[in-house]
Amino acid sequence: MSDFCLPFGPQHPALVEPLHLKLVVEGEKVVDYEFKFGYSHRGIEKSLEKRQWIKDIFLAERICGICSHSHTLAFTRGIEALADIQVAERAEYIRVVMAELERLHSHTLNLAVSFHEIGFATVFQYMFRDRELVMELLEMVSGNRVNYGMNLPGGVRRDIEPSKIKEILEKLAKLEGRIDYYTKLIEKDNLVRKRTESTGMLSKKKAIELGATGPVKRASGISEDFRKAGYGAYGKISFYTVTEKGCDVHSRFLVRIRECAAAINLIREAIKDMPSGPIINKTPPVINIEKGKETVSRVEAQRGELIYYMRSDGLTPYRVKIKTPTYANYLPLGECLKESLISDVPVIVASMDPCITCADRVTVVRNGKETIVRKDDLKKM
Amino acid sequence: MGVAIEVLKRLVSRPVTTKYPDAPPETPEGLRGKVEWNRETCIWCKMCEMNCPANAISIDKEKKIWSIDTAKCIFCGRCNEVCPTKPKSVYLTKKIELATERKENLRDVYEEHHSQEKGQKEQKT
Amino acid sequence: MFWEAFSVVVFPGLLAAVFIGFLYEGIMRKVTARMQHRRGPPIWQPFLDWIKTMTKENITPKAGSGFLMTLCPIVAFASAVMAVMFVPIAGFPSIGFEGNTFVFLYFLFQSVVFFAISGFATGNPYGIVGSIREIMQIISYELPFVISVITIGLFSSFTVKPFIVFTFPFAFIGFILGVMGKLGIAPFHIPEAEQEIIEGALTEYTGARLGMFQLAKAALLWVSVSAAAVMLLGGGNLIIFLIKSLIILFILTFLSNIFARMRIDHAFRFYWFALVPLVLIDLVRAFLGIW
Repeated sequence: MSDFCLPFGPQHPALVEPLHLKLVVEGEKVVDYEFKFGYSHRGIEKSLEKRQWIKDIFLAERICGICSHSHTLAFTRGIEALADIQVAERAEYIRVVMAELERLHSHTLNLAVSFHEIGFATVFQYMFRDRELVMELLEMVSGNRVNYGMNLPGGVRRDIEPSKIKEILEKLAKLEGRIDYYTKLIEKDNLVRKRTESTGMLSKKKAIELGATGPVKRASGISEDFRKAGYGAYGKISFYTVTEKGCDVHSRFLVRIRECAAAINLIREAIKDMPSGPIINKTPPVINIEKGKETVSRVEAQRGELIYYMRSDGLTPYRVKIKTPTYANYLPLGECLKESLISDVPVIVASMDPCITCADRVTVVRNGKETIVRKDDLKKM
Repeated sequence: MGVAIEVLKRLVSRPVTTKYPDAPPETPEGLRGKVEWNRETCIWCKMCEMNCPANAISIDKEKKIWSIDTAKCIFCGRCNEVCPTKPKSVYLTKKIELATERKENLRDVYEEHHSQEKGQKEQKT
Repeated sequence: MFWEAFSVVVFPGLLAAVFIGFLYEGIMRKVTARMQHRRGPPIWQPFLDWIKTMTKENITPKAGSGFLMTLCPIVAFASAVMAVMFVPIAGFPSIGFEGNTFVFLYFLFQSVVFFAISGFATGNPYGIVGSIREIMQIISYELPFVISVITIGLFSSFTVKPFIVFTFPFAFIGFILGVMGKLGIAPFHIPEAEQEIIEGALTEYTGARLGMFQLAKAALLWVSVSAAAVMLLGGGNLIIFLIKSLIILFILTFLSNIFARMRIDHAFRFYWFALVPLVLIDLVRAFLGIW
């Protein structure tokens, strides 16, 4: 029976994106697993090298639909560091508002999907309904529901006017009540707790060892958040980070829902402290950066830390290397799947909040066959 | 138990979803919809063509043809932003229902000899 | 003779099982949608789904057995329709003899068992896992379900008596939860958990075979709901019966919307260690004649 293989993906109702998980099962128990990636490799890093800096921002935005603002934020911050561009004071606050709105929409989406994975269709529908409030806000502020296109070197492209601020605060108040409701639901509901508690364990030691990031790491009792480094306007706004000690799927749920509440507070703070003034320091549409200059740009996206390495080649980047949080969370995901049951696999995968297309960076093909890259091969490169 | 109460409440309240094709969606001010062009103010500076991240806009200055491929357009609004004229020659409308049966229909070509009537355009197939 | 034939073919037999079963399913979907704050499909949507399914191609996978795959849906449907003949609905003739309740239980059981076999017949990994789960679920819910049916039988001497719900509340709960397990509605939709194992046993089924399974599901819903209405809420004429079965349907829909899916081991523990003691209390009471 031990050679009974259950394919999980690349096409599977529980996965929105193509990830292949080969599960070797004994009855309901997962004995072994194997990952396979590369179904949606798009070669974005290469195309980034062929365009001008500003056009690249819009391409970087399309790496991920959910964390599109984080990607542009990291990329624009990189350009600003390379070309020594001063950012308008007000723009920093608007960026924070956008990033936190995006965090809200990403976390509510992930929680809704997680509820769907444990077969709780009602809460799934309710959460999508309430998430619509955030989507409307994003649409109102930026003009688009996804891929907001807000960032340019030196500032942002759209202002948040006082009339919009009023609506943002109104809708956030409405949303806050709902977030409280879901927090209580996750804490109290018997079946939800039964399904999520002590499933997908990732101990504190393993989380550090395997390099987990974002809410996954925070759910294992490690308080680490790059926002605390105070990039952008984060240094000037008071905010708190959330940690849980449960190390299981349930505490990942809790971290996400509490981060939603924290994000609402953060948006309020940012709106309160927002200085007046211009939203952008005008930059020319074509930026020329000294050849060979390089930088590393980090931001805290919703799923964890997003890292951009950029090296200039004049009008275009010479190389852009992106490390998405999902990539960092693949090894912890494998750790969580050990000794789990088939019924728990979907919710464990969802609790990692994977964005598979973001992380599909490279497929190695040798002699017409895909090969596995080992650690030694990487050292040779 | 919270869900049980909410479920009963929702049973008697009106659904939030709308009958989409029958009831048009509410769109906020400043929505980035389909890109359109106004030839009256255009000075043929080609800024929109140069700055389009998706290379959707193409301009023929000699023949005075301005065209956009909506299939390529990513609705970033960059063309509108860089347009130097006042009022802006390239502008974003609130049109969002852009699906058609043929790919060619997505390509809008604005030609000179139709300029007498404002906003009129010809769709090449 | 006419009424016998009528009851087999039209009501409460074949046609009613299909039409009212689909209608109940439609009502369930509509009410579920309203509970989830959305509009939902029209209540005749299951019909349209069925018609579309029937026009599709029949595919037999390489690892599957075509004969078994054809047999399973037919037997499952036929057994469910047979079971409804034993339910005395609103004065329509039903098969009545000593111990007919057990034949009723047998036919219900057989219908579900063929649902379980159907997954093994396809040879698909999801189908096999779904079948294993289906069998484990049968083992779980069948005991409390049968005990509550026996309790009700002892009380009413296998005739229709009104409002068992107040006399034997635990038997009522056992019956409803047993029916939920049998129909595979939330929180017991474990064998067909789409997020885990696609569609469970029915993963590989297409076309007319899947259509037959849809009919079997509709018939099972019809027989379970009407049996619950008659046995738990008592008899009455046709209109009262329909109202009672709608009440049962509402209870099922409501319960299915307020829980997350159980895990199969949790479900087993729930049925055997939480529910069985409760229904046993009522069984003992029925034996001793305390009510």
